[in-house]
Amino acid sequence: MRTGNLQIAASWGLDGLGATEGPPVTCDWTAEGAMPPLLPWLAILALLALKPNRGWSAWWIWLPLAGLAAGWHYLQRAIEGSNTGLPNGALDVLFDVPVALVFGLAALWLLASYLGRSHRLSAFLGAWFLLLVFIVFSFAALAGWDQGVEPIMGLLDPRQFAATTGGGVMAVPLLVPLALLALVVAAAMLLGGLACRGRDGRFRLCAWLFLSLVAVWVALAAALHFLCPTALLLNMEFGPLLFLGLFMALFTFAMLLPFLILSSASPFFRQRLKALLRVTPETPPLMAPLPAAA
Amino acid sequence: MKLLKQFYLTSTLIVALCPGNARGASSNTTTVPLEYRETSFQFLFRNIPIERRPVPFPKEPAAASGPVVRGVLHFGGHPSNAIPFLWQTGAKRLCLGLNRSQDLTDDSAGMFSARVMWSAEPTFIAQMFTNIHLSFPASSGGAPMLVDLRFCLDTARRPGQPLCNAALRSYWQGKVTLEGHDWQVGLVQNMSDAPGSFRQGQLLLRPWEESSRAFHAFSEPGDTYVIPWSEQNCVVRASDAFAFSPRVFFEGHACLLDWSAEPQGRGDKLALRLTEQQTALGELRITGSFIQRLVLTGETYVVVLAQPPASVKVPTGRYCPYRVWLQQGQTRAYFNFGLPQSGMANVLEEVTGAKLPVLSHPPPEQAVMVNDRRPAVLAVGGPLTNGVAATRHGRELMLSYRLTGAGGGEYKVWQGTNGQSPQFTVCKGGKEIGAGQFEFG
Repeated sequence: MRTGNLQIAASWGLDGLGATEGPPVTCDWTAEGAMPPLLPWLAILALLALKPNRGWSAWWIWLPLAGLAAGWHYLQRAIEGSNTGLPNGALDVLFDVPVALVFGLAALWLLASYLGRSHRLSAFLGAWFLLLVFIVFSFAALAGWDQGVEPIMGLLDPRQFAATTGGGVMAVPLLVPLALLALVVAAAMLLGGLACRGRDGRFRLCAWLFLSLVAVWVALAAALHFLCPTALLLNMEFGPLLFLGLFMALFTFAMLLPFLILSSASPFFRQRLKALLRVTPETPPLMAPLPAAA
Repeated sequence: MKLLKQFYLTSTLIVALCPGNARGASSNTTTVPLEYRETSFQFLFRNIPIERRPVPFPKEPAAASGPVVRGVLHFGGHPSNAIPFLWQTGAKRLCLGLNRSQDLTDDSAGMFSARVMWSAEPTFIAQMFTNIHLSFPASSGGAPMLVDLRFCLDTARRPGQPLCNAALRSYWQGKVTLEGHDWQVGLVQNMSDAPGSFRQGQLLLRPWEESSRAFHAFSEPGDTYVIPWSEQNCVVRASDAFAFSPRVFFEGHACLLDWSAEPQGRGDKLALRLTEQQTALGELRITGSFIQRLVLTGETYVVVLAQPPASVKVPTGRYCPYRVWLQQGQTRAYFNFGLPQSGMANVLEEVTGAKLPVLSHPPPEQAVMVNDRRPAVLAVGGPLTNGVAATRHGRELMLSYRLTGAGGGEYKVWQGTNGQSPQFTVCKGGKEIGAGQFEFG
């Protein structure tokens, strides 16, 4: 009901410096329909139509996806209800980040069969690219296109980019953490795959993946500490930055865990995980039966 | 015609000088004795660099519990101005080597007790030491200054980086009468690169009837972290005091400010000479109203106008930036425009990393050029108009409050409004469907 032409006016008693009532501005407000937040779900649905995903086994992907999305939704509601003082708009954007990551992971699992055929480095780059695309797309759809897409447009506009970075302001405040998240997950899969190649025990995979996440986040924290201007990191010392890295490793692993459990329970997704980590043993050479003795 | 006008102005100044102002040797020079004044309020802020000392001083007061910080406070670059200090946080005590010696026990006047400041975290120690008299003979005549020193130490995150911020509470003031109007004229000593210096300090110039009101001198934005965020924007646009200029134009007169001897002690006076100057004038038309103070910083003169009429004569030249304060009743507002002396906008503040509330560079066309051929127009002043800007941010509609002046510039209310915040109403088809109030930030 609160869409359409809105007249918004400000008022303040200025004690004679001006009129109390200001002139109204007209705002053609159209609340975003239900479609944009559905787009990531439709994208996953579209991926299910791909040839490698045909069959009901692939539909189990909805389980971790819906579970995590619902979990974050209810956590957000709980925090909003606990009066933290944070504006709801900021909370919305904050909670859209992990949900976008969940969509990225789901897409990665559904497309893993394509990555498993390439070289390890190509697979890493491919995984990063896929994650980045789906995370940014999902974030833009969930948080609003201006949050997700406009920073990219700003990045592509050299004048705007120069103007904002010259002032010490990050031009793409939301794009950077999303790209880092994608990079960390892809790098952790590369490391985890290298650590347990040829040995594909369930717990071994999980353990190496967790350790890889810790290693990558710690390395990232160190790189940020030594390479980034301290002001951009809010003058954080290495200790708190390291702690933040460890927290992020736990957070990322918590996001991955439902997909790992699914991979453990479903032979279909177990193959996908092996493809992602490239732990599938090389296909043995075909053994032709010996010709029967004459 | 112009010569006649200048002669008239000069004569007027001479006739209008109040009896208390001593006439100088020259007929167009007046001397104003400036006396030392201490204020109850802090009006100039400066971060003081600290060089930490890892080992104890040769002589120190008895040890105390809690973190101890030793070092040297560097006031400017001259090593003779540096002051050794020992801060005992547990005892809430500060020992200053006011005689610049390494013996911190030989000067009882250098011992101060702290007032503990509010702190959000127990690991953050903030203590303020008040009523500290300093002098800097190496960079000035040695005139005294009264400061409050605020020390901070984050023992958890940055235990090796204590912070010190000095807040000035003294200046030298006198009264000068021009055209029948009394003006408060004061000199604020430098507290940064040439501490104690008057010539590199600031000039306080305002109508005498405002002299009982607290004022702010200009502080660099990075030095104002000790005051509330909402006040920082105002402080960097303060109009009562500004960087000292030997040439000022006020009450229709161009004056050269000068003095020969600087005071040595609090009982001494500084004899400020105001010498009338001949200068070409041009017309400046001001389109807005309610202007209480307009300070124009030009290449040659700083122009100070109090409640200017719609048309005034000022020295010719290019003026930018300009500071505008409006007042009506108890409500005061300032023009949210201008840059700090560093010339940097949107700078990252050194201490907290926060982005300062400083606007971007003013567009060049907002400089006002005054010449003697045609009137210049300055579109500033009231009446002010309450406004709102609505922008979409994702699923939210962000409403931002805007207070614009007659010339379209943005203004901020500083005093008045009875502590109330601006309100907004949202209507659709003439029917109110929502309302609320804007929050600061």
